[in-house]
Amino acid sequence: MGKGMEDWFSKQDFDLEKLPEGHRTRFMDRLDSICAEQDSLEEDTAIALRVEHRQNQKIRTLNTTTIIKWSLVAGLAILMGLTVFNMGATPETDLELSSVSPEMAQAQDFFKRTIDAELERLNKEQSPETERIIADTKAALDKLETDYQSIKKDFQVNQDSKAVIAAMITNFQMRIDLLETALEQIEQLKTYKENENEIFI
Amino acid sequence: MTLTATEIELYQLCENGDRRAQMQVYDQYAKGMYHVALRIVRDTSQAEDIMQESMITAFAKMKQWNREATFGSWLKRIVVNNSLTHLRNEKRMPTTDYEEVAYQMEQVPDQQIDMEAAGMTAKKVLKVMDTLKESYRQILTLSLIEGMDNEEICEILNISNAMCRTTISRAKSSLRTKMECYG
Repeated sequence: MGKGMEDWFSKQDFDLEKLPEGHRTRFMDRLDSICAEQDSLEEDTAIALRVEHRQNQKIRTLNTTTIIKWSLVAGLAILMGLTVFNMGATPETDLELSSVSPEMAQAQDFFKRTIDAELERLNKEQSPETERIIADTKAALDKLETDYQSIKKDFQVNQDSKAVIAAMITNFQMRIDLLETALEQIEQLKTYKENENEIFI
Repeated sequence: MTLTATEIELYQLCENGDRRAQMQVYDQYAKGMYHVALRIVRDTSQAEDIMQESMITAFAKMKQWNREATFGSWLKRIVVNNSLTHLRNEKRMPTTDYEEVAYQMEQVPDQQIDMEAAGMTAKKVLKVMDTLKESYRQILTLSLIEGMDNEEICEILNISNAMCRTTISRAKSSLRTKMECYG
């Protein structure tokens, strides 16, 4: 009979119970309290670390409200996507977010349209003053596109990795953040110019 | 084990305290790890508590994960350890009795039970295992359900290899008897 018994056990699903109600909230509270604890314990080192952390974050998310907004959208998309995804995704030739589920396809479509629209707005702002900002933004977008291609490669290897799907969504989010930041900077530049002109008058 | 670049980044973010990454890992493993703890401590709120504490420990000690094992099996090890520590603190840890030590002297063939022929399901087996004595239930849980190898079990339960093998063997024959009663 050999390893028959072990085989049988390894094929069974013994995780039959439901997690207690509200476990997620309790865990988040725990994470929060740990953070608070660490803050008071290692104030000095924490400050240095946090400054660094914040700088890192700044690069990624200059606008906190937009990131929250997009996190919500992405969270929703992941939730919707995964419920369908768990029921079994159909393999398609072009392996992208859209191949995960119809909801993911919708999310991807939505992201792409938003990015295109913002890019168009950015292109309209082309002027000698904004040239630098626009060029920088486009370079950063290219970098994100390269990242996206490598994530896509991961996706071919590991199609049911939630991490990979989340990375794709984050990639889109970052592009949108980047574009919004650029547009904001251009707007600031414009108001600054206006103010300067008024002073001269 | 193949870890994709995205996963490497995800665990890095967890280590750095990125809340979104941590919740993502939590969601991925919460159910499985909750059950690992539940099977050992047999109390839902304590199982949740242990699962969440272990998750936080894993985030804090991510550097100790050697990446040879999957994150899941490393985390499982932490959960099992914490669950057993919990039992020990509650003094519910099974003690070794003379009978078992004496049994080590005997030659024990590896017991096998044809589960399919016995018409077993996961649910039924868990029920039958609940009727076993604590030390048998525990070692079979680790060995058969969690799929740990004997070496790991010895280390975790702090028992000798011979002890481990004989206890598993005895536990299996006890399981067989109980299954016959059940069926």
